[in-house]
Amino acid sequence: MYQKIVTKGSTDYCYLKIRLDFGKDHDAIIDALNFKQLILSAAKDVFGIAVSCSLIDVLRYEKSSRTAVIRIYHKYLTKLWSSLTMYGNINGAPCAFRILQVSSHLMALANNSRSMKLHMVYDG
Amino acid sequence: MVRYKCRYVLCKVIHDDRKKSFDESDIYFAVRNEVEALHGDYGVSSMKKTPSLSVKYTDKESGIVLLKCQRGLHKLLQSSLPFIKKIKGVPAFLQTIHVGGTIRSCLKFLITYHKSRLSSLLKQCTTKEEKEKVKVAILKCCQDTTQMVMTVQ
Amino acid sequence: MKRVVPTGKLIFERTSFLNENEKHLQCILTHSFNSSIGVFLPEHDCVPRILGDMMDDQMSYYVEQVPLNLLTETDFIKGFVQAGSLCMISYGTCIDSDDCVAVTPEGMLVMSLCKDTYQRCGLDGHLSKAGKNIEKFVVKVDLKSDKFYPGTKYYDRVQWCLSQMANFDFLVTWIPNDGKVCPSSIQNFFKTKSIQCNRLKVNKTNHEFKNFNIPIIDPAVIETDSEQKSCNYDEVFEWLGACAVGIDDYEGDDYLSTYSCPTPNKQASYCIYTQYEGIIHPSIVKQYINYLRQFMKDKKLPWSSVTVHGFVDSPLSWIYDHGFHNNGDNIYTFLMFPNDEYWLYRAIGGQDICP
Repeated sequence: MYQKIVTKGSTDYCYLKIRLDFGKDHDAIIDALNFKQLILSAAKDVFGIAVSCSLIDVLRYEKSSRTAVIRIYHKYLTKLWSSLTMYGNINGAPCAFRILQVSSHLMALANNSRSMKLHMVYDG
Repeated sequence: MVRYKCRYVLCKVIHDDRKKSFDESDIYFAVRNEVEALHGDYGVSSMKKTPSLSVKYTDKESGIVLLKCQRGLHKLLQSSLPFIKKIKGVPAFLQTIHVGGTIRSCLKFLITYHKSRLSSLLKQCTTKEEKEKVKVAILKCCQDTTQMVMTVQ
Repeated sequence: MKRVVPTGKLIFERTSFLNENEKHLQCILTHSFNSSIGVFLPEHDCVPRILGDMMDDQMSYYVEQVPLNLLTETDFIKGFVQAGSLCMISYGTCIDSDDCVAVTPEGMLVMSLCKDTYQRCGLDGHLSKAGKNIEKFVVKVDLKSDKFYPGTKYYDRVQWCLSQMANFDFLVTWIPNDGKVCPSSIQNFFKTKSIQCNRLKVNKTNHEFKNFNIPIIDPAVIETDSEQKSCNYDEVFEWLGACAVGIDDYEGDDYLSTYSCPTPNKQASYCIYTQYEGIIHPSIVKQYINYLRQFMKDKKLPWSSVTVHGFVDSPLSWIYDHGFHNNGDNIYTFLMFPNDEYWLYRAIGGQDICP
């Protein structure tokens, strides 16, 4: 008994790990609701209501590092990505969204070997 | 030479106030603002690509409007047309009646469109004089159609 | 409308450990460069200690500035490549922009080189098959080959070519064939060559879930039908991912997220996900999966899962060339059931070759 299914083409969702950075001397406390609001307004500025009404799920948000895992439809990936890149300031404070990881599997965001920190044991 | 390809969208302005009429810039800004709301900066700036969005023709009598935009981007335009609720502060909306590739094809369609409307106008007439007028118009247009098409060519 | 380029592919397989033709060992052992292993246990409150012990027993090192010609020296090949199973991967190099070097447990030196390095180094290779229009070249040297010893023309050429190349930082783990040899002897080797070599500690992250909805999975049904007896296979994978990422309280706010546990589901009082990061030898994964199969039967768990993430910058994913397009996923997940059946998910990047 053996079964194999290969999914190559259109996966429904795309998952992004993003971080919000502020410029020097600027800081703000952003909670999860604000964060989603920022993503929506970024999308609305560049691509209007047509894109900002698409599904954007904030699956996980970490307030201290302002890092979030979001889920979007795959076909809006390019548009959302570019509108996040264009987003520049919140109430005059310069800021930027950093796209840390993009994947079509949520599992992939559990680990990032590129930013893996090495913990060394110094013996002698 | 490569020709810029366009799409012409023929619309009809529908509003309550019969006396009010809109000029080209009113229509243009109503459409532009709606594109901006729906498709954002991306929509507005792509509408400015040559051949850019423009209002080619307005008919104040029948409320016919001809919009021009780049082919391929007409989907952006068409998707935002139904969302227009006000033009120059007056509640009104645009009804798309035809989408064509050239002005000529739009004009051809417009003639047949007006012709088809004449018979329904006839039914609406109340006085005898009006009826006579419409009848004459129908007769005239039947004869003139061929000529008009010729002049367009 | 333009065709959307996939950002990832998913290969799903359903079979049983008892099946004669099943290839779970092949899948584990050929996936050489693992950066993390994660275990999810439903209805259980702690991950068996043995995994942590295995991780601690495994010696992994960070070696700085290794000249590449050291890897082809006879005492290195005899002492480590042939006498055990060596995993070595360059650290801090990105597969899409830099040169990457790795040594597989099979004793193959794999280098994924940029065009100018490739042309300068003068070794025979081929264009990377991962993705189109990328200028990366893959050079493979079989260190275990019979004909690869000093004195032969080929050996001397390789040795000379590698000596011309830049030095790399490496992550290393080595398991000797002979149980009497200590795995730390590789550290001594590097130290005698006066190369910085430090031991690495594995990172551990834990996610605990209390009163948590878990999906009901029937190993025989992979797609939900009208009767809703079991969850869809891709939804289960997404859900496992959600647990691994550590989604907190996902059935709270509708505005923030519309994600919910796949149906049908049931409540479990306690679930746990534990993840170890570091360079992990494939044979540890193999041992652990064998252990977990027995453990699951003893504790009467409904299922259990093991996820292994490969390095996104490894030059190989399984035996094929690996590239980086939006992501460099090479992940596999075993979802195991007490009746020895298992579901295997393999997730790779959109431009990679399906294993």
